[in-house]
Amino acid sequence: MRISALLFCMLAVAPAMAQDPYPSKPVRILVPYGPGGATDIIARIVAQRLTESLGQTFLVENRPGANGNLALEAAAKAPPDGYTLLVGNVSTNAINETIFAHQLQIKPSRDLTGIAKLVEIPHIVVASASFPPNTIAELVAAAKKEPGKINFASVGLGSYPHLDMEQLMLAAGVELTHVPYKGGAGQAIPAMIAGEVQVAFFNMASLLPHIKSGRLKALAAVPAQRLPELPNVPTLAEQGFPGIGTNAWQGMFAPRRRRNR
Amino acid sequence: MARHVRPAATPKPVIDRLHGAVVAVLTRPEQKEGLAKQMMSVEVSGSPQEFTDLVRQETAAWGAFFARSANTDRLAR
Repeated sequence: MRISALLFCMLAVAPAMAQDPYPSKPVRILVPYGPGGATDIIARIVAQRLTESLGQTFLVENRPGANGNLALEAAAKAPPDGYTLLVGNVSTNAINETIFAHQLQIKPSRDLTGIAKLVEIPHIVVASASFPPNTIAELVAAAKKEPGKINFASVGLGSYPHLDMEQLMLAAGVELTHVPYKGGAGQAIPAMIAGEVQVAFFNMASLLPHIKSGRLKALAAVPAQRLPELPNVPTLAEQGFPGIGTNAWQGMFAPRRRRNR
Repeated sequence: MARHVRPAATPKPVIDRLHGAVVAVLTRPEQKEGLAKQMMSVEVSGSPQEFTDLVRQETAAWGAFFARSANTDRLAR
């Protein structure tokens, strides 16, 4: 009786022992940019916390290049065993599939499976303090008066600060002139303060100090709700443009299926 | 032989384990506060499928936006 009970127990645990419990070795998290940006920052925080809570090392591996496409391809082609993950964002994982359709060897939405959205970073429509319009309606009126005269900043052709303004222009039926800054927000924001460009869609993380100091002003909040930091700034939806503007997020992904290299 | 032991897809228990662990660590109050100071708001998905569906919807929406844009050439390389 005792022996058969023991045998039963051994048989019952055998299948579980045949496969190592996950994670049984270090896990790498690919990041499609170099260190320091928002996606890298959240990936490192998550890696640190998962290392603590799951008892295995989660290691961030920066794989910048080709607008994030190198990391997307590496993740999609990695063995689908949970030991290669990716932390991407709305650009790499929802926009690149369309704008880089001819360059990407994979389809991110088909070849990667989502684990979780991690964070969102709110964006706002921001303008130089010296730019007369204070609302989206005033911006639209000024653009209608002098088509193409107002410049808007972005961090590159096809970046979502660019695409968001294109969406607004399309919805409002106005024309602004695009000025891409390859050096990113760190280059575009001083240019806006100097008045070289008048408006942009940028994230709050880089803008808040300049809004507080009065060198830039917020015309609209992009999220569905007003931002606690800017309670007097109405949302784009409140100003008649619901659904415009990227809901910028960072999220974690794993390869969906085994693919031939 | 080796082909049999290599998984064909990331196993669901692994996806679920990671999802649960990520949600648990990011939704701790002190973690949320720390991220809020960097203007990052913790917005974890209810399930892996919910996030996968969201990414697919957004990918389709961006595709549709490009398709209907009057002047697509200037939007991409």
